[in-house]
Amino acid sequence: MLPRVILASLATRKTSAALIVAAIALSLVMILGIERLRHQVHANFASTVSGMDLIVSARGGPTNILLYSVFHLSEPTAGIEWSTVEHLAAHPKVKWWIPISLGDFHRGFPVVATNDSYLEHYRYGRDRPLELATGKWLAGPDQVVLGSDVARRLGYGPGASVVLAHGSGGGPAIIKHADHPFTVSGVLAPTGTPVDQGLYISLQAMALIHSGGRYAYPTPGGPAASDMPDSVNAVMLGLKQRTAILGLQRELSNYDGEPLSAIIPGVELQRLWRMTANVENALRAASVAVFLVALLVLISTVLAALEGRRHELAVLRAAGAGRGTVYGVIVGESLCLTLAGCVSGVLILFAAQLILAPWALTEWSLRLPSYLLAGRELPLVAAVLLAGSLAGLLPAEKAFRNSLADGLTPRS
Amino acid sequence: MALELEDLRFHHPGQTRPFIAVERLTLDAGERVLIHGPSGCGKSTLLSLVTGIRPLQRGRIRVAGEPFSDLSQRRRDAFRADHLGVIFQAFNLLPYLSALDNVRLTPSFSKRRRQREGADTNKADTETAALTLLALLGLDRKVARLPAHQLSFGQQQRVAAARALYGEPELIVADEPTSALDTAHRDALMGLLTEQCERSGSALLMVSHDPDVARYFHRSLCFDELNQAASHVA
Repeated sequence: MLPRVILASLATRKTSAALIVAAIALSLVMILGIERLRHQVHANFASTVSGMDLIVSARGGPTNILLYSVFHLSEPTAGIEWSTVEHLAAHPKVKWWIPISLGDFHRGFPVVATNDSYLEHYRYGRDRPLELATGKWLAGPDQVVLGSDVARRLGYGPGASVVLAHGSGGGPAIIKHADHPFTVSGVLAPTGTPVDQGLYISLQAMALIHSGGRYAYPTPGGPAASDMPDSVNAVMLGLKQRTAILGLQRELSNYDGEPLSAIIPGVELQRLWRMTANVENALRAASVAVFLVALLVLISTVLAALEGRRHELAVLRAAGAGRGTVYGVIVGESLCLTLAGCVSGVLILFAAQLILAPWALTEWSLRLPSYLLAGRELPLVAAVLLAGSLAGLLPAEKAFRNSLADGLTPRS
Repeated sequence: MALELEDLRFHHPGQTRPFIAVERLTLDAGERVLIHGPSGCGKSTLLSLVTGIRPLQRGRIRVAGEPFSDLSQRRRDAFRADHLGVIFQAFNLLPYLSALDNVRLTPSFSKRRRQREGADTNKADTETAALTLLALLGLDRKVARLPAHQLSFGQQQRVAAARALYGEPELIVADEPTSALDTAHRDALMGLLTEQCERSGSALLMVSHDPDVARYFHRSLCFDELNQAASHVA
């Protein structure tokens, strides 16, 4: 009988009930949305570096090395000598190595000079290799492979001609390498990582466009030594045994040839998240504040409605309802409203995810989650439900006191 | 004894003189007693105290032989559900529930009242008992299914009577239930109410400003004589 009383009574106050539900739904969208965004950004970043054990660069700040080498979010440090790269390549603990050289851009997208091992060894997510959506991987220094975002945003396909520029990705290009046009040989399949935003050329091409000279096409039978760059910015390493990571990291930081930094991407990522934790907590605090405002709306609306419900509660009291039932009716109502708010909020967020997913992927390379509700979110939703129910305690006590004071003749 | 009331005092907060002071009032089992007096003299407050909805400040009340006023608020609420029926002056029903569901509020709060209607276990039984009572009070099944706010005032008061009578409580307390009814409807309601009180053996304590209803009662008391607080003022 009690649930029926609660629901039927709420149905007579549809408008205010709907407003409370909306307030709670929106605050839940904010709370869950921020958590999911945070979780997804962390997952995306982790996915980007999931395959590599070490990143070796000229000595510099570890966070900077991580940000520029993989995420193209910072300025590259000075290069490391090609002889060092060869040392790394020949190291007995190293299974694979990917050299990268940065600094050029095409219409805001970073250009990554590398070699075939990028396609062969780079892994993202759960050990997923790169694949070409169309065309072929680089076959010469006049060719460029595009990340999927670059191809889609600029409308390029295999065969298109691309001119690179030297300079910052954000500002106007300082020097255009107009005399060295590249031809698109292929487009990578989408990965949901910064890989999608890069243009990939060979190290030889990078060396040549910066040498100021003409193209010197590699001689048949393999690239000549002179075609190799003098230096690269960083080398990503995969080791034969993961247990060797710390040892190699120490060894490389004491490398005789030149001052090096070797960073463990996963560890640096954790350090990065510790740095951004304050911002995340501020966002969380803001979302909790919004939820508290929604709770206040709930409490004040339920309280305000009590005046008009004095007869209703007097009838229940006369029929034998005690404090427990009065609390049950009012707290039950708060629970119903909060539950409806939670369900609406989860559905709104789910719909928003579906609608915004393509946009978020192209604009931010962020894969939005496609789930309705994750297990790790259940404690959060449970806490919201609990808080919403507890918010009914104050009006419930007020309602009971009203009924004591009113006796058989409730004020209208 | 359906009701024994001794040495009852009630003050409004902040006032030194008692608003209500009743030395003694008793109702035998099945006895119908009318308290009449003008509006606003404290009759309703007395009934609020008798039903235990308002906490008693001083005095003793026994209902059906039980020391009602000594119970905790919680036990008193449960006791009311088991042994008392209440009819208000107006707004007796939850407007959004059907007449039938309004009657079924009583068994939903009291196992004893369910058992006394032979409807111990399931929903269908309480429904049958409620429909029977409504029929005895002249409300057919069609009316029973209507939402309470669609009923006429006279019908609403009958539904309230059915709710109070459900499960044959020892005492029914009614606060001016006929004050908004015309003479014909008043007599119809009083006729049905006394008839059903006889059937269920419930005592009836009713207050009214209308002396004409005295003929439905065994005894009739003047509130001003009952309430010594009033005589002190006079």
